[in-house]
Amino acid sequence: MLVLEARDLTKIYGAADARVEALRGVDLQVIKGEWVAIMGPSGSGKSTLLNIVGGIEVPTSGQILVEGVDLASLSDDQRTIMRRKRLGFIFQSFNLLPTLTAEENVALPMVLDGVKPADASQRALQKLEQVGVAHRRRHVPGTLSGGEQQRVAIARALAIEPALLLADEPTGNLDSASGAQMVRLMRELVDDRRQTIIMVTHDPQLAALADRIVRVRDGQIESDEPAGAPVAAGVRDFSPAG
Amino acid sequence: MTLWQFSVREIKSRPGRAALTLISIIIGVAAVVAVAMSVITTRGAYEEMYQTLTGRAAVEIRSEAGGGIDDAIVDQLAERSDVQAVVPILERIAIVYAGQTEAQKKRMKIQVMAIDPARDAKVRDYKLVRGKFFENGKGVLLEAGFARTLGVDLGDEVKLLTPGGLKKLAVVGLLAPEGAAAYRQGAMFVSLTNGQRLFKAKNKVDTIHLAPKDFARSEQLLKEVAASLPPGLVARPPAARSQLSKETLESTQQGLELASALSLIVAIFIILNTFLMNVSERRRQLSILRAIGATKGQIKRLLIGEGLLLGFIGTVIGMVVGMGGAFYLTRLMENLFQTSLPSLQVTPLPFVLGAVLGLGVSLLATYMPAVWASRVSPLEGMRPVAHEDLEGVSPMVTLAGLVFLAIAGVLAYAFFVGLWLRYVPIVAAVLALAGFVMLIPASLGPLSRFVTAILSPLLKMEGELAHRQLLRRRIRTTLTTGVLFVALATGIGLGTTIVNNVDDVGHWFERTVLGDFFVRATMPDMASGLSAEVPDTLGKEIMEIPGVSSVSSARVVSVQVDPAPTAETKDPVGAILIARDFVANDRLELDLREGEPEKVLKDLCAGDVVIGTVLAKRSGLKAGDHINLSREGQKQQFRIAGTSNEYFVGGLALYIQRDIARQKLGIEGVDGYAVRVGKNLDRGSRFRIETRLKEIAEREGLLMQSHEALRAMVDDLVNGITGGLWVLLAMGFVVAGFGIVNTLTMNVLEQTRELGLLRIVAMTRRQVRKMILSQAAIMGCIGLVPGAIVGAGIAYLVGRSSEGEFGRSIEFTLHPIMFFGAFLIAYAIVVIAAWIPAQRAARLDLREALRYE
Repeated sequence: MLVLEARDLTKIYGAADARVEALRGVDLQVIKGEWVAIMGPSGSGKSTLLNIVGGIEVPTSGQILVEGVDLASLSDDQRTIMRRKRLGFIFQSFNLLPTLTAEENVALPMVLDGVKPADASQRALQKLEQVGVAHRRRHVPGTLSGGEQQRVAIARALAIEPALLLADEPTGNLDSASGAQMVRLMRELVDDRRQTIIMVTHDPQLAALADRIVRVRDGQIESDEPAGAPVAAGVRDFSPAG
Repeated sequence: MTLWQFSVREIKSRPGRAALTLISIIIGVAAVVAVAMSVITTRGAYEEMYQTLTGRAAVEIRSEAGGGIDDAIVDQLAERSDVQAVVPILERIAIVYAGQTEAQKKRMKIQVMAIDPARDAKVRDYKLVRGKFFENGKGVLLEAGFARTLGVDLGDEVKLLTPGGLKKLAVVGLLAPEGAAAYRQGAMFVSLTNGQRLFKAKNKVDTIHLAPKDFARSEQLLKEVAASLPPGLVARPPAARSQLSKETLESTQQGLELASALSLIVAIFIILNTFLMNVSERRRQLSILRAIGATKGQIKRLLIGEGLLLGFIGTVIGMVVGMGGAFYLTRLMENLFQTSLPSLQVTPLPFVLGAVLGLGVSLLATYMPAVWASRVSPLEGMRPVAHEDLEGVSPMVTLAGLVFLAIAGVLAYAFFVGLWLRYVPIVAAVLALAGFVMLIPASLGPLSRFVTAILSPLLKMEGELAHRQLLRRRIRTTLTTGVLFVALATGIGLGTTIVNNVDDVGHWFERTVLGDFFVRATMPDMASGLSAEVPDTLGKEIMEIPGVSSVSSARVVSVQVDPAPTAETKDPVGAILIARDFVANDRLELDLREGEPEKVLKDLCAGDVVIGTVLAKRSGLKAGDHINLSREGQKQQFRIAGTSNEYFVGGLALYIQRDIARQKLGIEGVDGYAVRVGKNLDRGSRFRIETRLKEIAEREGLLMQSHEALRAMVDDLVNGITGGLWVLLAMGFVVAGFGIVNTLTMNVLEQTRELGLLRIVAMTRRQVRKMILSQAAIMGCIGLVPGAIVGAGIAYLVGRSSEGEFGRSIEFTLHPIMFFGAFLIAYAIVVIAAWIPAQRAARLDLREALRYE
C-alpha cells in the first residue's frame, strides 16, 4: 500500500537573479512499512524534500500525496492537522519543549488534538514504555541524556501513530552507543510494527540500515536503490554490543 | 497536562520578564484606579456638601426681582407626583448679640435660616450634639463651634436684631459641624413660622427647593416647573450647586488624567516589548509546536491567553495598589482644597475602568506578537541557528505613524484655534507619541548610523559592531528605543509642566498674599470659597498693636456674573467676590495679567473690579468691559480694570474695593484680616506682635498664621501633588531601565555564539563589554534625544491647554536643570542597565558559547 507518493515535485525559492531551484521534477513512492533513507550533499534538496513531505513547506508545482491526500492542495491549518494526526517528526536536535516533562512532551500533540489530558498522559506513558524511557517520564529535557531525549522525541512522534515518521539526521547529535540504540529502535518499528520511515542523513553507514536509499543531487533524484547490507551488519558499526 | 498549564509553566520559566510585564500593568492600572477613585471621592464629597447646603434639591425657585415668594405655592408644588419634597426657606442677614457681661459681649452679623423642620429634614441633614429641635417652633439652633465663638451654651439666650427690634431667643439645640450646619457655620436656624414672624414676612419665603423623586429626571423637573411658575418667579438649579468647585476640580483632574494616560502608554510599550521578546525567544519552541500539529489559531490563543493571564494578575494587583494611591491622592486633595473629605468612596467605576484598561492594554500589546508568533514557520525548529528578525517592518507601520502625527497635528491646531475639548490635548499627546514611535523602524537605520558616526571617536570598532547588531533586530531595537522615547518624553513633558505650574502658583502667592500675618475664622475652602465670618471690630484692635503698619480686611461672598453676548454660556456664571481693602499708592496685591498695576490699583480704589482669568474666559469679558454682578436680588454694573491670575476657587473670582462693595452691594462683615508689620521691625517686636495676635485669635476662636507658615502650607500642598507625580515618573524610568536589561540580555543570548567566536578570534573581555554597552549607548541616543525634544513639546502643549481652563496659558519655561538632568539620569539608567548583560557577555565560557544554539 502506498503511504507516500510525490509526483513531479518542484520547489523554487526567490526570483530573478536570486532564483534557486531546490527541487526539479522529483517523483517518489514509499509503501507501508518501508524505511527510506534520503542522502545527498549539502544544498542537494534533500531537506526541502523532507519538509514538503512533512507538509511544512508546499511545492511550487507537483503533487505530494500522503495516504492519498494531496498536501499541496490543503490550507495551512489543514496541513497542520494532517501533521498532527498522520505525520511524526524526529529532529537532529530533539526539539523537546524545555518546560515540559518527558511525559508531557509526548502528550502534547494529543492535547493539541483535543484528547483529554488524562487519556493523553496514559497513551504517552505507553509510548515512553515502548521506547524504554518510562522511568524518566517526570524529568524535563534538560535533565535527560541526548539518547534519552531522542527516545522521548520518538515517543512523541509515535504517540499519534503516524502514517509516516520523518527523521532529519536522527543520530546527528548522539554518541555512538546512543546512536546504535536509536537505530535498533527504528528498525524494530519497521520490522515489528510496519512503521513507514523517511530519514534524511549524511551518514552512509546509517543509510545502509534502511530498506532503500534515495540519492538526491541538484534537486533531482540521482539514484533510488535497495540498501545493500543486511540489517544486523549495519547495527554492528553503531554498537559494540550490536 | 493542558495547554493552559503549559502557558503557566512558560510564564514561570521567565520570572524576570513576567515581573516586568506585571509591573508595567500594575503601574498603568494603579494610576487609573487611583485617579478615578480619588476624583470620584472628591467630587462625591462636594456633591454631598452641596446637598447639605441645598439639600437634595435639584430645583431652586426664586423671585426674579429678589423679593419674597408667597408661600401658598409651596402646597401647590407639593402636589406634583415627581417631587419628593418641597422645602421653603426664608433667609435674612441679621446681627446677633450674645454674652451677659461687658467682657463676654459679642456682636456678630449672621445669616438667619428660617426653615420648616418637617419639610427640611427630608432634604438636609441636621445632627444634634445636644438639646433638641425647635420647641413648638420656638428657639434657635446653632452649630456647636459657632456657639462657642459666640460664647453661648445650650439654654442661653441670644438677642437678634430684627425689623421689630431686639428679640430674645433661647438656644434650644447645638448642631454637629456636619450636614447642613457645616457649610452654614455662621448661620442661625429658626423655624419658618418664627422667622416669618420675626422678620415681618408673613406667608413669605425667599427660596423654595424641590427634591425630585428621581434625581436623574432633575432637568425634566426643572423645565416643567419653570414653565408652570407664575410670572416673576424663576426656576434654576440650586445656586450653591454652582460650577465653582467643579471648575477647580476639573483642572486637577485633567492633570492627573494626563499622568495616567501617559503611564498607560508607557505600559503598552513595555508590555509590547516584553511580549515580542517572549515570542522572539520562544521562536524555536513555537515552531516545534507548529511542526507537531499546533494550528496558527492555537498558537495565537496560547500567546493571547498568556498575555491575558498576566494582564489579569497585574490588573488585580494594580487595583489594590491603586486603592492605596487613591487614599494618598484623596488626602492630597483634602489639603489642596482645604476641606475635609470622607473616607475613600469605593464604587465599581474605577475598578471597571482599571479592568477594561488593564486587560485591554494586555490584549492590545499581546495581539500583534501573538499574530507574529502564529506565523512562525515549523521549518525553524529544524534550523540549527536562530533566525534573524521576526518580520520585516511593514511600510504600513510608517504610514500609520505619519497618519497618527497628522491627526495629532490637526487636533493641536484645532485646539489652538479654540476647540477646547477636554481630552484633545491628551489625545494629541498620545497620538504624537505613538506616531513618533511608529516612525522609528523606518528611520532606525539612518539614525543608528548617524549616532554611531557621531560616537565613533568614543565607541570605535565596538560601536560599529553594536550598530549592526541593533539593526539585525529591528523590531526589538525599535521597541526598546520606543520605550525610552516615551518614558523620557513623558518624564520631561510632565516634569516641565509640574515645575511650570508650581512656579505659577508660587508667583501668584508672592503677588497676591502679601500680609505678614493672617487672622481668620477658618481656612477658606479653596473650591467653594466659603468661609466663616469674624468680628469686624477686630481690625481696629489689631491696628492698635504697636508695630502693626496696616490691617487689611477681606470678605468673600458668592455672586452671579452676567456673561458677555460673545460668551459660550448664556447662563449667569457663579463666582466669588473678594472685597478687600486696597490702599491707593500702595503696591497692588494681585498677579495681574491685563492692565498696569498702578492704573489698576487707582481704578480699583475708584470703584472698578479686577476679575480672575478663568472668570474672564467663562463670561467672555475682558479688561475695559463692564460686568454685571448680582447679589441677593441686587444687580450692579462695574468696569473691569484688569484681569488677574487666580488660584482661589479655580480662578472664578473677582476683586473689589471693600467700601465700594459695602456701598453698592451691601456686603458687610469680615472673613479675615491680613496684617502687615513695619518693614524695619526687629525680631523681638515681630515676635511680640505674633504673640498678641495669637492671644486675640485664641480669645475669638480664630486662626492666626504667619506669611511663612501659610507659604509652607501652600508649598506642602503643591509638593504633595507633585511628589505623587514624580514617583509615577520615576517608576516609569525604572521600568524602562528593566526594558533595557531585557533587550540587551536577549541580544547577548542570541549573540552567544558570535560573541564566543569574536572572543576566540580577537576580542578581549573589555571589548566585548564595550560592544554591549555601545548598543545601549546608541539606543539611548536614538530614543532619548527625540524623547527630550518631544517632551518639551508636550509640556508646551499642556501649558497652552490650560488656556481652555484658566483663560490664560501657564508660562512655558524650559528648565535646563530639569531638562538635561532628566536626560542624563535616563541615559545613566540605560548604561547602568546595560552593565548586567555586558558583564554576562564578557564572562562567556568560550567552549559553551561555541556550542550554544
